[in-house]
This record gives sequence, C-alpha cells and structure tokens, in this order.
Amino acid sequence: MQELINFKDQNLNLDYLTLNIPNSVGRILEFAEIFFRYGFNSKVFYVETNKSQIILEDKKLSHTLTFRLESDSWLEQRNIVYSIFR
Amino acid sequence: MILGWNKETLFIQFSGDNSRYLYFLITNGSFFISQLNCQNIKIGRIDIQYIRTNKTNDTDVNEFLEKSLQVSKDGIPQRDENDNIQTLAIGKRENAYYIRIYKMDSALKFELEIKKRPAQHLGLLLLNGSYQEFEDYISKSFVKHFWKSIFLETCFTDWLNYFLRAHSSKPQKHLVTSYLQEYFATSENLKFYRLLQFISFVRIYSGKKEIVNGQSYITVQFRLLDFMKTVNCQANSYQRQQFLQFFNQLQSLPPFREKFADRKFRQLLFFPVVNAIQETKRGPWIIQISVAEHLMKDAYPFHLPPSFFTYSNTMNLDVKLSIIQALAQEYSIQKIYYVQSFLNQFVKRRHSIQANIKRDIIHEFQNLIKFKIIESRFLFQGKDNQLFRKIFLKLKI
Repeated sequence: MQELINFKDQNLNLDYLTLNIPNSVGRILEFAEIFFRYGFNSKVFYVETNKSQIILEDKKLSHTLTFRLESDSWLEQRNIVYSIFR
Repeated sequence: MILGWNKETLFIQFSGDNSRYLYFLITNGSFFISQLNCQNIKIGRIDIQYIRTNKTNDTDVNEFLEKSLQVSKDGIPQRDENDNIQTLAIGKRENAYYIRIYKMDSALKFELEIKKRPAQHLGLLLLNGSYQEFEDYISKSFVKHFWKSIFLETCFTDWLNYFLRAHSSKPQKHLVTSYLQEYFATSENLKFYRLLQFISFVRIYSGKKEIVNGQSYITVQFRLLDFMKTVNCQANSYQRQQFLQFFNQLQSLPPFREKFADRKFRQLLFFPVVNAIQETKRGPWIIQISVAEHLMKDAYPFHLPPSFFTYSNTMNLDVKLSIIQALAQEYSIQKIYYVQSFLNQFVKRRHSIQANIKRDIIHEFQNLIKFKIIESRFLFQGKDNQLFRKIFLKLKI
C-alpha cells in the first residue's frame, strides 16, 4: 500500500510562501484587514527604495505578512493609509 | 521573469513561522484563500526546509559541504574568514528550483525554493484543498533535488537516505527488511528469515482495518499453501507442521516499543491475533492474521531481489542472512561486508563446501547488482589492510 507522504512524518516544514494576485495593488488595505482578523500584522516593502512600512499592527499579534511592491507610487496615490493607521 | 507579472500584481509574502502559521490556518479549515475574493490568484514561491540537528558522532561538516560543492557542479559557496563554507547555494536563483544548505548554531538547514510553473501547479493543489497531494508532491520534489545535488556518503544526509529507502518502489516479489539491530543477533536464523519471508509475502494482501486503542491493525486471510509455495517449500506434512509452528510462535516475538517521553511509552504486538483453520479433515489450512498496519505500509527501507525470497540449503540461508545483515545497517549508503569473518565459520568444513559458499556469495552480490540494489563499486581490504578497488567480482578459491 503506497501512502501519500506528509510533512510531519518527514520533519519537513514550509519556510516561505508567496501569493501572487494580479491587478490587486489597490486592494492592499482590504487584504490586510482580512489577514489581521486571522492574526497577521501587515507591512509594505517597496523594492525600488528597499524600505518597509507597517500598515496594520497590533503588537499582541506574533505573525506578520509583507506586501511587496515594485515602487512606492501606491503610497503616493493612496495616502489614506497614513490617515487611517498613523 | 515572473510569470503573469505586471505592475499591478500584488505579492503577499509569508516568511518563516508566518508561512507555517498561514498553512496551519488553511489546512485546518480556519482560513480559505477564496476569502480574498480574487480571480487568478497564484502561488509564486514555496520554500520547504529540513533541519538536521547535529549529533555527537557527526563527521566534519566542512568536508561534507566541500564535497557537495564538488558534486553539485553549479554550487555557489559563501565562506567565512577561515574559508569554511557557511552557506552553499546550488543552481541559479532565477530557476524554478533552487537549493540552499545553511550552517546553523547546532544544525544544518536544507532548503528548496520552488517558483514559476511548479509553484503554480502546487498552488492549485493548495487552493483546491488537496493538502495531502500538495505535501506528497513537495516532499518528493524536495528529496529528488537534494539527492541529485549533494554528497550522499555522509552522516549529514542520513535523513535523505532514510526517506529514499522508505519510499522507493519495492517489487512484490522482492524480500523486504528493515534496519537490523540487536534483534538479529538474538534470533534463530531460520525463524528470523521466515519472518522476513512472511512480511514480504503478506504486504501484498489487503484486508479489514481495525483500530485498537489508537493502533491500526489489518486482518488478512490466505491459504497456508500459498505462502509455502511463494517461499519455494514443498507441501508435505512435515513442512506444513513447521509452518504452522512458525505461526504458532509469532506472538512470542518481542513487542514493538515506542518511547515518547520519560513518562509515556507505547508497546504493541506486531501480530496480536493469529487463527489457523482447517475446515475439513483434508481441506486446506487457512491463516487469518492481524498485522500491525505499519508492517503492511511498504515503507521498508531495504529490498532484495527474488532470489532472496527463498534459500536452497542452510549454507545458502547463512550467506543470504549475512548479506542482509551487511546491507540493512543504519543509514550510510556505503556498506561493509566482512567476508573473511563470515567464511571463518566454515573453515572446518570440506573444501568443496567452502567453495560453494564463496560461489553463493559472489552469485548473490551479482544478483544485487543485476537488480540495481547495489552499485558495482567495491573496495576490498586485504589482510595487510591495503585497500583496492574493483568493479567486478571474481571467484578465487
């Protein structure tokens, strides 16, 4: 009987996972709020400037996800982030 | 290039423990990716890791990394000030698969990065809730890539050798065995060999599964004659009694014991119920036996060609057992067979018998090569401790 192999039996673990969502840069806040309900803080990482910024955080939470953006144009267009979370 | 990428593509990254927590939420049904309400969501990258904790009798880790660098051909080492490799990356970062081995404080981390189409394929399994298939595919992919890329004749890949052996295909007509330790030395040869024959025979049967106190057992039924034929035994009254005696004694095997902690252990019988039934006076004997499920799972680390399923005489039995004993040791892929030590048992026997034993040894090793159980690379140690390599085995009596 050939059984499927699972991570636990082999002591394997995930160490990284990336979700790619097309045409969704404008929905960052919506996603951040969904993941926040499941225990994730959120930050944004701008590739162009190599800088990170926390956008939704509760220090009691121990998990964090990162929205990776190619440029900070998102920030300029959507300074609403500051007004809500600053 | 990232497939399907455009400036409006959003990348949500979960690193380390965050990825494990997300995966936990997904697999236990707390979170569904569909809650994001997105079309065309894809998995862009998956990293999977194995952490091997250092052991006291480990060999030199720097030597392992240097040899892996030689094996890999496209490895890129990062070295410390003493020129020792700290991280070994194998392959190109932009490839769909990318390997890294990291030195940690008291461990080595083996990591496979999966991107592009393979990651997207795996993402579909995850999005569809096919978690078992997701883990199966990734686990096999992980092992396959490390197996191809690093040096294997070392203690640092014991986990990899264990996995490869447990999950390699074992043809139905092959004899299977597990790692042999003290049990081997304390058991009678024939009784032990019969046990190997029996577990190799019974693993092809399916039966009714029952769970007793958390332990799964599978009850199978077969004709005693079928087992006797499989092991090439004559179906006479004497042999039948011998085989019935074997089943009668199965429950005298030492129990399997698992220790989980200082105050917790589990002990179980491999064959808790054995029924031998002859319904009519001259009718066939039927064996109904409950077998601990893990004996039926086909995850045995070693298998041997069909010639090992049977033996022609007691000398042949001894030869086969000595070879099994040499192969089924621990994790190393390099095995040691003490030829002279084995032959010394027979020094008082006739010259022709000793010659037959030598022929048997050569024949069985040739069978192992023929069935690709071993490679034909032999290193001999002579009486003067000199080592010499050979590709072919020849008989010298």
